[in-house]
Amino acid sequence: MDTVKPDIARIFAAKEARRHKLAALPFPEKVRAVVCLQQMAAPLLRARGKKVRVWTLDPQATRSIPSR
Amino acid sequence: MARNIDLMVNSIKVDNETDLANFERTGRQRRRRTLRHRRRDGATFYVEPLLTFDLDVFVVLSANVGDLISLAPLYEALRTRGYAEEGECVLVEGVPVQFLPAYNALLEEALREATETLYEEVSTRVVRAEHLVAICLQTGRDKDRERVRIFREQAELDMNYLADVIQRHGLEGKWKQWTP
Repeated sequence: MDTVKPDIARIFAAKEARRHKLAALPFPEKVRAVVCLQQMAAPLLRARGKKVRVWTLDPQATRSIPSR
Repeated sequence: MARNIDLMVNSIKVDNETDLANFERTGRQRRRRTLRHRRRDGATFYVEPLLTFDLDVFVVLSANVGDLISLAPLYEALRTRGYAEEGECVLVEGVPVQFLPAYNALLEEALREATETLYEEVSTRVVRAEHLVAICLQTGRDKDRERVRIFREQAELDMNYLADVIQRHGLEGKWKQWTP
């Protein structure tokens, strides 16, 4: 049976911790993160022919996008 | 014809046309603030941000028994406020919003029991996480199953409350199937 090496397990644990940290962000921060996700995904989806619209955010509203 | 409009953006409730007008006025006054009460994704309140491009808005329309429920008055009200239709959605300040009538008892209960919260300085009402889980169970798609998993992992769920909702709406089978 395959087992996960300790360093890989640490990476998975860190990813898990980050997801919990993201879940705990204030709602406006989460919305800004959603817009970042949209900006990343939109070109790929458009290349596949899907029509998508990235939400329009006020420049002030994007001041504190969570970073990795 | 539906006259009073109960409007809930997964979380936000506008009780009637007057409130809708107030929302609009607030929106104009704060046009620079882009994400306000109209723009909510209930799940986003409880779990990590997830990719979405549109916003589903549950709308409670009070109609007389036997009347057909129509979204036309709502669309008309939004049109007069400058919000254009775009396919199945209405474009509200840059966000495609799709309005869905609260079509069953679970959704009506979820809107009724939504909790008051603040989004920045704007008072709003948010559907409880337990109801969002139950709605996912009821909808039953693969993406809903994944969402239930994320809720269980990240959201603070009141399991007693959730058990009551699940039992009340006959969702025990799906819950057992999805949470072995």
